Amino acid sequence: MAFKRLTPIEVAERLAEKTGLAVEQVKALLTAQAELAYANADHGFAIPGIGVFRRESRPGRTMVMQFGPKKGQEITVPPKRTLKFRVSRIAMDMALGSPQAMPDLFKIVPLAEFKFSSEATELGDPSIFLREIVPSPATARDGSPSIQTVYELPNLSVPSGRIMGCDPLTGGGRPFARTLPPGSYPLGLVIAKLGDDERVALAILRLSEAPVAKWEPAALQSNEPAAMRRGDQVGYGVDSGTGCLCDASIWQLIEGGSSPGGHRDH
Amino acid sequence: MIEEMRATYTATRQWLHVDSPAGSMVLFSSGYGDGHYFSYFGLDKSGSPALLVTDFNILKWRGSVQPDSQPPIN
Repeated sequence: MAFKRLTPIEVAERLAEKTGLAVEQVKALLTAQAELAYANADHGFAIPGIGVFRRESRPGRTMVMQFGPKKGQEITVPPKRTLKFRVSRIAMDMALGSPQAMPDLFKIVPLAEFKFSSEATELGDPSIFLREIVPSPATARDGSPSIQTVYELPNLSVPSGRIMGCDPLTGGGRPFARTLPPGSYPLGLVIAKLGDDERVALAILRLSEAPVAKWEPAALQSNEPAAMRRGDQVGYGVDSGTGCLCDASIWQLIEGGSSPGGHRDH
Repeated sequence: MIEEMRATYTATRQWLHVDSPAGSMVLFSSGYGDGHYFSYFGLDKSGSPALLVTDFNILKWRGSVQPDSQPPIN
């Protein structure tokens, strides 16, 4: 029965064998883990080495049916609670990647190893970021005029060469398919002024000095064979009003360690 | 981390740079808030990436190829 899924009792027995604990102790531990996961699902519950279990609520809304017998009618979609599970980066590396030693899942990364900075320099000459991209003065999507300023942040260091964009407060995702030479790259944020309102309009990472000849949507790394893909998914959803760019490896520290981004805060 | 981010004032446009032994992460307020945002690589004539741009759907700019957007500016 080589391909049979282990039953919960078999799981407990195997874990007891591997750890030297009594089967009853392992059962108690797994039961407690499940209970703790249900109780903490609103904040996301990390099962070490596996992933994050999360309860999400979607408020009710009204929508107009676009097709079918109720076409044109407004219907009410009731509020809904769902459960989501996101596989951790460590699980992906271990279960999909080449065989490697089991990492320490409980390694505490001291907060001191993370350095925070909100420094930025307003650029008098933002052409390093804006040339070929945004005309000056810029125009908003709705056609209204907009003034933009560009702030240069500290360089983004990408030692693994795997770069990722995501909502940092709801968790990771997949890095971009295109990898970069490991290094440290200048990052500019374009702030659009629309009347009294100021918004982050574009995040621009300058990877080389070369002029841009063409643009391509940034596809995400996929584990599926190319033949099975139905158009690589691009982009990421933001539920927290916050986006990010990062070295994909930083998630191993955040998920495995003291989690500076562990809270969801609206 | 959120507390740190709050320190960068002006509610609608904040940022935070985080450095770690595994590289950095930069967080920023996203456009008008929640949504689905696309990124684009700008390639040089040899096909190597020269820019990586995340578009928060506010400005018209050249790389945008989303169907609902205005034609690229030339």
